[in-house]
Amino acid sequence: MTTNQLPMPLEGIRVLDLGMFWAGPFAGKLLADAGAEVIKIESPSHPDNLRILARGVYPDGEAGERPWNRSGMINERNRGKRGAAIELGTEAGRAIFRELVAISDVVIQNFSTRVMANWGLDYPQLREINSGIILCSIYSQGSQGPESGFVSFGGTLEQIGGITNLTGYQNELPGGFTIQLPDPLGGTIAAGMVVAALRQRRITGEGSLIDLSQRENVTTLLGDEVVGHQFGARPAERLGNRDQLMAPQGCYPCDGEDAWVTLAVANDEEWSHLCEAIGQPGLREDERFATVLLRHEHHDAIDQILTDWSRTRDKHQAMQELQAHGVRAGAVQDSRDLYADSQLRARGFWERVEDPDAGSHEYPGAPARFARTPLGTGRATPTLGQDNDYVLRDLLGKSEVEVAKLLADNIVGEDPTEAAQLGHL
Amino acid sequence: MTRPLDGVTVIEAGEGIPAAYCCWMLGVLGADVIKVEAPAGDVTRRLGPFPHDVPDREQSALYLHLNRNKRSIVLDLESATGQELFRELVAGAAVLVEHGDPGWLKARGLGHESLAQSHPELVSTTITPFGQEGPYRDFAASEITLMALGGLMNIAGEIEREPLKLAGSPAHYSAGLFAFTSTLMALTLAEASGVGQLVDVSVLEGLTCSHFQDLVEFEYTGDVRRRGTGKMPIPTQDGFISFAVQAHHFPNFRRLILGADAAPDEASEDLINRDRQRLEGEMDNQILEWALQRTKYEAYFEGQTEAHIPAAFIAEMQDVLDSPQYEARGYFVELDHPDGESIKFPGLPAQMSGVEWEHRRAPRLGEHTIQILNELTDLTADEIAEVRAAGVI
Amino acid sequence: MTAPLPLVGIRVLDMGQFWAGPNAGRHWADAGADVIKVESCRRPDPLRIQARGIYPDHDPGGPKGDHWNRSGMVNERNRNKRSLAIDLTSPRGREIFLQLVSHADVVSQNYSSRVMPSLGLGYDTLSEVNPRLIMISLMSQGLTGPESDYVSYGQNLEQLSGISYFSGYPDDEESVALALPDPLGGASAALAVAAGLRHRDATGRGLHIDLSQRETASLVVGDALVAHSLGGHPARLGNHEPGANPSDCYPTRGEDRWVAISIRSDDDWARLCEAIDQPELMTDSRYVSIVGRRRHRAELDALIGRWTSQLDHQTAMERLQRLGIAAAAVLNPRELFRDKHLRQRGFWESTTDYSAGEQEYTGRPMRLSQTPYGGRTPTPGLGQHNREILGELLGMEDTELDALEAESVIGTEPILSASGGMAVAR
Repeated sequence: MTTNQLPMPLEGIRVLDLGMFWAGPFAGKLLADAGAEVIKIESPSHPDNLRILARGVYPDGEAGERPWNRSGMINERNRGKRGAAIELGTEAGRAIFRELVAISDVVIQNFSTRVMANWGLDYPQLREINSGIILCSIYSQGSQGPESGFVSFGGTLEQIGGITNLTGYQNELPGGFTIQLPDPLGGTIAAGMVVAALRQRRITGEGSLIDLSQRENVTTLLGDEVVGHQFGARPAERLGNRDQLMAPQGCYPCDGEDAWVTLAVANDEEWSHLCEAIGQPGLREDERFATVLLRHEHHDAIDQILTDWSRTRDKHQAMQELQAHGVRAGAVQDSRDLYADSQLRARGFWERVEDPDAGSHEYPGAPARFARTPLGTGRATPTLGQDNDYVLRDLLGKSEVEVAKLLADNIVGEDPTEAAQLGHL
Repeated sequence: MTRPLDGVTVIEAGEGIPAAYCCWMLGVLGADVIKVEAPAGDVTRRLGPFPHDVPDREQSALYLHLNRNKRSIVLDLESATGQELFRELVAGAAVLVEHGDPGWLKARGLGHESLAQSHPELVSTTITPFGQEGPYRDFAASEITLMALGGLMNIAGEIEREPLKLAGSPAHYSAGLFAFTSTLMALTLAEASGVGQLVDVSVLEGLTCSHFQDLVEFEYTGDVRRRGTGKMPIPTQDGFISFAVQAHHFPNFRRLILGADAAPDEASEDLINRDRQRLEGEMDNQILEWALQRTKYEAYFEGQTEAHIPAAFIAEMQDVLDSPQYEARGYFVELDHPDGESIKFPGLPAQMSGVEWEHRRAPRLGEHTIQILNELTDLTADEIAEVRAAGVI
Repeated sequence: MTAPLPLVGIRVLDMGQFWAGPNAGRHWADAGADVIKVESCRRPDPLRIQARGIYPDHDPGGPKGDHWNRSGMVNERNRNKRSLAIDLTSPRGREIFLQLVSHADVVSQNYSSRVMPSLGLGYDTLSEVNPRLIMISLMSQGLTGPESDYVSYGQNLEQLSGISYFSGYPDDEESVALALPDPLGGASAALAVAAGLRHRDATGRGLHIDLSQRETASLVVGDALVAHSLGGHPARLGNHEPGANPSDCYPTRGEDRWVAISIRSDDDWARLCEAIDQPELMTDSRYVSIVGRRRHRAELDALIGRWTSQLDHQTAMERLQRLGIAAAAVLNPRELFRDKHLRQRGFWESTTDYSAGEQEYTGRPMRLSQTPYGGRTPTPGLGQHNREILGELLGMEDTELDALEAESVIGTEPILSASGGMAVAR
């Protein structure tokens, strides 16, 4: 094959992205980055929550005239998509949606369990319109079961999934701390399952329903503890930043405000490197720390020694010095650090996008580098209803008159309804 | 029964969590996954937990969980013979997924470019802590250091104390998930065009893609988000619960705790700019009283079904195993344990209509070496015996 | 080096003949035991008589005309012993023997199974005389079983044990004939008796050890037997070492000179390429892997042979060894005698034979750090210590000993038939 332009992996695939908030939209973005045509569909009466509940994350903190097009979180995870604002709360709006289903390959949704069914847009109904349609439903707990209709966020999923109980400072209560990992993980597996379903369709000729449980996705990350618990192994405990096997492991204060460096030592050889790194080679002969068991036992003493050293260094300097001696180390980075991070810069990780409403900004790029077909679109997040014309006229062949009527009847729009703007979602 | 990845052979190399997790999922989706292990076996065989804490390389829970639905072949990739056999295996495969030090396969003459010369449709997914190039490329890494660098520790824990890591190995699992999705995308293109490629997955980049708000907040406003004081979990009769009350949940929440007849509170009518944390704080005592009258599951269930608010309980491992929701979903997969009892393993978190997933136990070290060599190479029985006597398999 | 030898204080009546029995006896003698080689003039150790022409300078008679004391095979394996030549078929001879048994710790014999019982010297009898006696019967196939009284020699035991099956060129009927079971049997017997002595220390009682040479020899091919029982088909491998490709003997300069080379890993192959000064071969895809080296065996052997043929075998060995490759010159007996390494180790020991002059024999197979293990006295002449032993242990006087000699109960010359063969003394 010559070096002609290769098509993007998902070129020619059309996705209707009904996702809201994070998991669904993230899945849509991953598919868009891979070349799919992703159309984000929002109802003017209930656009994606994060357009409205933007938590003040606007350019320079200013909401501006149309805050729903300037919300940072929306702009971060809906890049590369087209956007249509179709009122799914109306029969007419749902009719348009059905017309789109007929010419699309995938529908992504992460509403709570009754919503699509209430709209008459459940899988059996979509399948009747288009037997090849793939409906990917990213539920918090799946569509079946006594808790399937329950509301959740990333943090609550971590709790009922089992991670939170194991997280927390030693000898303290389990952390109410959440970093909302279930959402990006849910979006990622959803995108993968969609691609798998597309292959299934190539074999069978039929679409499918993907029913995903974000809670299950969380528990799967703890599979070793799930099995270990049944093995009658020592019970898993909250260890703070320590580890069952590695010693020492921890997070140590550095010079500067709220500055920290983490490190981990897996064996005696690495312990020896650490002693050298902190300028105390004599510690290698210290009987208290000679084996991993002893290092566990005397972890507090080691922490004190390491803290005395780390306090005298800037966190990145500490990391570099430790790494120079082959010690696993990582500075605790905040968002400023990440944007300045030399590794991410060297990798060209950040994607700059020109957004007519929000300005020119850098956002996180794709999570994998494809050597022949680099992922990413470089295109901004659509404003609400930005591609209504493309969708209605180019894709669905509606006339100007029809489109004008739809606008007038509020079946289609370009702004959220007033109630929505006020937060009544 | 057709499965999405029928006919796809995957070679898994290296060791640890990410490639194994990715390939487990590919295996459940129907791929034929061949796990190439060094003679000493995957490191996860040595990490446990083990039955009754007795180390046994065939009984490590982490290994057993991550390596279901695969076959195992032992190949010593340090030897030229092992490398040549590896090439033969890859020649018959659509995908190679590996996790190891950056460039470890290339150093053994098994880099993507070399393999793809005679096999241009090959998709090679390589998972490393930081990617194949860059100043951190050869940095030593572990779960905690990656979470720290990826910005996720900074926002967890209490501001008055050190940042806190999440339990388990979420950074490595997350990389495995990104590898899963990326590999399938590259496979799609390879099957359509006959052209494969190298897919370079970095744990750090995956984590950096997984920030809810703080990255864009900094980019837009210059504010650097810090961790908070952390919400205390609420004690019940038998454990802890929490409520993640958003603005629009608040009226219901108030009614749940204070009762339907509680006097309306004007402040709670203003949806957007409310100070709900303060309002919640004022209800602390009543919340506690309410919770202590219930078990954690009851509190969770009631909060969700009566008030439709995001209530959660902090599940301990037994709660997870006994979950009626997981039972209804058929989420757990029972596999036989050599001791005789059957053990529940996590299943695939996604169902696909028209497909039933098949779940097979993880292989013993080198269990399928001969079978795989017979299937995918032209080695005679004699040659296999020789290669075995030389310690290559 | 001041400690006494390990078996000092132990007395062995070594009735062994040919190889296995005497070989065991030499192990005990080397280790310091007082080993009395019990022979008879009517039936000396057959190798004294059937010497197969192995005499010093091909001269059987020598100055004293005592060819039976000049047999190389006997002199090689009976050093450090004393010799008692006594007729066990005579009642008096048997009686004396039984008296000696009460002064002994070990009786070792490798006759065929009928012999000791027919002499009235079975274990039951001997243990009555000396309950602390350790008797070892080094049988070809053990004391029990349907083939236990078959007669055998080392070569046919080699065949019965399985060694012959696996030895030889794969495409050939012929096998090796080393009589390996004999020295193997001797070494096993030495170990068995050491165990027996420990047993006696613990229990105060003696025991009878039933050692089958066929069984001990089969241990040599034990891995092949296991492989077969697991469903494999172990076959004759010629010069091949499993897992080493190639492994074979290659011709070197001179007539019938060879070097054995064993390429045990891909790394070894790379080093061989270096050694033969053809580094470009390291990337030759034909030979990079074990499979390739096997499939292109003919070209590989020719290539290696071209190199080895230009060198003498010692040089070839040294060059390869320097690079860490398992290589060894195939040495003939002359070369073994001159081998620098063996010489430096003092392996060859010089001795003044009873009747064969100054000779060199194999020395110690091991060194003990505290004790002077090695040759002390040469192989005894037939009956050389008759008077010394009977006088020392049984207090017999010269007159009685003269009478025994006159009656041919003891003696120092074999009683042969007119044909020169052995008298059938039953």
